[in-house]
Amino acid sequence: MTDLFAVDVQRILWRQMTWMMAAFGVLIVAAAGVILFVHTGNHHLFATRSDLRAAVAAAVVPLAFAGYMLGASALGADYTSRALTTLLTWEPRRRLVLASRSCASALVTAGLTVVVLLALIVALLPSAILHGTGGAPNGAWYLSMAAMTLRCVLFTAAVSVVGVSAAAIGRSTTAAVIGIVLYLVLIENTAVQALPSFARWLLVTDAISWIGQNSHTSAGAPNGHTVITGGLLLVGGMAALWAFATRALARRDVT
Amino acid sequence: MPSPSQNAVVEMVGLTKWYGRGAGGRLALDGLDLVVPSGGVFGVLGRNGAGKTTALRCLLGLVRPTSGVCRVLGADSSSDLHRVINRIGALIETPGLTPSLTGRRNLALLARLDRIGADGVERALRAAGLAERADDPVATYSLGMRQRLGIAAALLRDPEVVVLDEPANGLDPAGIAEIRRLLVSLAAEGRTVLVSSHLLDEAEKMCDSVAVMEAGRCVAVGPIGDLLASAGTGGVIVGVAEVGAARLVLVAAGLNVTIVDGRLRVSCPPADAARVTELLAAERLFVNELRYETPSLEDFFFGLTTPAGAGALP
Repeated sequence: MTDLFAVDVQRILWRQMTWMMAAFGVLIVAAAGVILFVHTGNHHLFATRSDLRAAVAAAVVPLAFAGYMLGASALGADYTSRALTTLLTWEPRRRLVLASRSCASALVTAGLTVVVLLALIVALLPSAILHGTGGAPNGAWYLSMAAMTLRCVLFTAAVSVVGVSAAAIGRSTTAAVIGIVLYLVLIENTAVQALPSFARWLLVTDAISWIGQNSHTSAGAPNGHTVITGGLLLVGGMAALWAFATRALARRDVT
Repeated sequence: MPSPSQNAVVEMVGLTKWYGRGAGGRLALDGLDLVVPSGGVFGVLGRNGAGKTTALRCLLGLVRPTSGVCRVLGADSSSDLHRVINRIGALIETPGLTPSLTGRRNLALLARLDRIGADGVERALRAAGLAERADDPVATYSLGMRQRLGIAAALLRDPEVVVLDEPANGLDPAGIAEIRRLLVSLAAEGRTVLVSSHLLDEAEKMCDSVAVMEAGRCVAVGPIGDLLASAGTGGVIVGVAEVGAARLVLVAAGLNVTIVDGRLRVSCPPADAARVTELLAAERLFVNELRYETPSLEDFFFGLTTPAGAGALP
């Protein structure tokens, strides 16, 4: 298993897409840092505590998308190129193959998230130091920020596993992308409009609860869930999808 | 049903595979029984759609059989293939590799799974004749080069059993001859090489035994020499100045005679050649060429798999 995992991590790290995502992410946050610095200097002040927190929380959306793409293509591209077929002639235990690929994808996505979030914080520091208001951050704030960053990392890693699972079910990256778009449009949007109470059990609102909450209470959460409840629901959804993907891959013909 | 022998490397018993369900379903394997003995080059021959690739995919656990049993090196392909997989090297159809990575990196990833070092990768690249292009991305490879890389991947483990599906795909004549020599040399080292092909001439040159598949079943199996001898499709080629007159003499004697390229082809066993010369000499028609035409694998194959021949199959 460790050899397979090491190979899967290596395979993802050797892909151009991984490095392009990382470079693009760092570039975007660097540009955002410069724009924000100029903007706060001329027109507004930078509310250090709340703005930094909001920036990290907002960054998780593109990072989750990147993680999903990374996970989906980590398996989907191999399905399409038939590299998966070759791999299965070396390691025929398909559950192990999917587990390893999911873990590798989650690890690389977590690393990518850490790099981009650190770059984001560094990019925002000049604005915070020179144009910041609202008092200097204290220990509790740092602790809260660290916890939120950790939750962001875990969330994007989990989304990456969802991407791997969707590609295993759909047998390609394209199918995985179509799958998530359909989910967001049909379930998160249309179905929720028809049945608003259903929203509290869905991915987006639970992701907001998991990442955006200040404390372990449900106060202010869009769905009334605490950080822990939101996290558990996300993990549960991810695990169910992964189990389905594992079953599909194990039973299916791979040609 | 073949009885499993102790030295069988591959055993397929009643192997059936349906793709799809209901009216749109397609039967790819129809109760296939096949035993591949240890050592030598064993060819699986058949037209496109005969079930060769599906059989090999079942063997490697890639395709789940609808029913039947498939064993390789004693392990069930559907459940405990992992016990023996490190003794098998395989290439199924066009090799599946990561196009954006170089040939060397593709092999290095596979090699790491079995803790094979860089020298093992280098050896496999050299054996497949790819050392010079090893550091180019696979996306830039021709079909023949991809095929070579797939063969290199199959040989990376120094396997006991080599399973190759149409290994000559995309190769030029020199490449095909090179791969043939490679497979024969692998068998000479004591390995079992199981190769599917529709290149009958190549199969005849390199295989010790073959199985002929038709419509998902094995319709003939055995050493090539035995199969050709049993086929009885050979004949005596007779050169004579007056071909027309000679033909009339032999037909009158009850022989089946055709004229091919200005010579007579008499369908009879080699021992009957003396009778042919005797009949012609009696009519003062003197033979200037006499040889026995050995039936080719191609003759044998088409005798079995053409619609007319298929009806007579067991």
